[in-house]
Amino acid sequence: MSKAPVWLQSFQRSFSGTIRTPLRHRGGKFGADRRKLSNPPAVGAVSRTGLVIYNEQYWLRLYQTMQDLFPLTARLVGFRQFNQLVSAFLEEHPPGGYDLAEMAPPFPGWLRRVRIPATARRGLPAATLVAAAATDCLWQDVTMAPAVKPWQINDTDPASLGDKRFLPSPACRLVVDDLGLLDLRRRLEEWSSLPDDLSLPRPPAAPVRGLLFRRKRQIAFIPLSEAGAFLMERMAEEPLNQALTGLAGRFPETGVSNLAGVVRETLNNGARAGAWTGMTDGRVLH
Amino acid sequence: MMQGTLPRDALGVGLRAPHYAFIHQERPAVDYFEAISENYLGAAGPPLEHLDRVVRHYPVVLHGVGLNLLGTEGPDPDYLRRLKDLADRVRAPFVSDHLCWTRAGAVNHHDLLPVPMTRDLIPMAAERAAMVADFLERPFALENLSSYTGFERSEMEEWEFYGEVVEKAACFFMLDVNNIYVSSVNHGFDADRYLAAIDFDRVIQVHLAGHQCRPDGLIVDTHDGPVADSVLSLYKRAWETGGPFPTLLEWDDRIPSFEQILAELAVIRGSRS
Repeated sequence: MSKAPVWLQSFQRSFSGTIRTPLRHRGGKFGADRRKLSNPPAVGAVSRTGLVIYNEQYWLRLYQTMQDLFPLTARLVGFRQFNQLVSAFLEEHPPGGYDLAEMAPPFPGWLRRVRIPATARRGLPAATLVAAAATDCLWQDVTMAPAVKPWQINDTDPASLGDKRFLPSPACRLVVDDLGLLDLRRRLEEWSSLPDDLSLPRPPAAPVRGLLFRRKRQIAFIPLSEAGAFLMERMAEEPLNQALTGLAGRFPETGVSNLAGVVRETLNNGARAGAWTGMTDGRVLH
Repeated sequence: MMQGTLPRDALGVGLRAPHYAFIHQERPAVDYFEAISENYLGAAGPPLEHLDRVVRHYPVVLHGVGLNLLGTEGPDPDYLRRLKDLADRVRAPFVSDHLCWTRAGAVNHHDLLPVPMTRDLIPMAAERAAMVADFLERPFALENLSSYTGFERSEMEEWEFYGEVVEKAACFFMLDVNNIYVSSVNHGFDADRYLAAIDFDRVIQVHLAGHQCRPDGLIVDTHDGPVADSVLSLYKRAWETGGPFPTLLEWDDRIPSFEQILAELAVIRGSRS
């Protein structure tokens, strides 16, 4: 196989650096900062206007994709601020894969890690910004999860369940929301045209816990009690008997008969939500 | 010469998510669909479910935007394996991608980027294209770019470069007539000279799409509207010169209803006569 000519690598690295030059915001729009666009060496003169088009295409495509992946976050913080956050994030983590959706998962963690001035998040509390991004990510994960055949518990052999761990389905996620963001994210799906701005919802009186899952092509939610959510989380981490021991220890006031009810309800809810793909031995190693 | 299994006068549409429901319910009269390969290569479940449903009723060809044929590193083996699996899954009559680069080092630009057209690039490009066709075990075609910048270093016209790569690779042209028009305006060449240089026996498919004219005179290949009259006129001349060939309408932004897409297909069909 013929090798690439020697000049190609330096040209492509330099062209890449040029078209990834951050845009500037002016007059309500993002556009190329012509003063900062350097001419790629090794190829002679290049049309500056052409570079502007590639520079703007690069960023505007990424902004649009991230706005689509994070519709709640973008509308809570405002598009201008959101795009600026995306710029900073992608300067550190430029897209590497062919699937643009791969940009999404590291974004909430990046928001958590970096110190974002209040003006850059339009006064939105930093923790709320992170929670909104995590909510968008979660929604995207469930929406785009690979189709898996839901697994149902075999009622004829309940005794065999005790030393097994439940394998969670990628199309079902346990959610705890104390800001009302999940409900707001759900409502975005119902609007035929989305507003540019959203206000923070009134937080629920108590944290909302439940299973977010895809049923056919719709996203659905089944609320869980605090004990049910605890058990559901533990069942994915360790064998059922250990999860039950943990449940009894965490909610000692509940009583044995009520704990049995929690177990029944959790198993039923999990089955309804297609929460598991099967069972396996052992616990999750972290 | 093997040129896929589509009828030579087939008229198809780029498969886009907003149209899934209409296609599943109405089964519109379209000869075939073209799926963007990268939309179906990841782990996401729903896109593949939709694609599988479309494949039950229509031929589907694959069109990639991430092969990175002219990148220093070249096509990624994992990408190629996934692409082959997808092509087998949908029984794609042929697969196409662009004569361009998309990656540099660890960065994927998600854009179709130009290179100076130099003679020393041709052997590399042709060998890679031939390797891709062998690997995919089906006809493979390269699309000409629309581009916004030329390079002083270029040694030849775009059609010479494109033609030599396709000929040496023994692959096919995925000829985008809108791109020829866009680049002819942006770089000041004669679009008919371009067409005259194409060996139409090797044209596996033609693309049409809309574009936008900027105030500074450059044209951008936006795929966000109907095909411009100037492009339809060039398409008509291509058809007279080398038709029939399968023709595909791309519409990627401001995507209209499928009824509007069908109306646009009728316009394209009418322009052939």
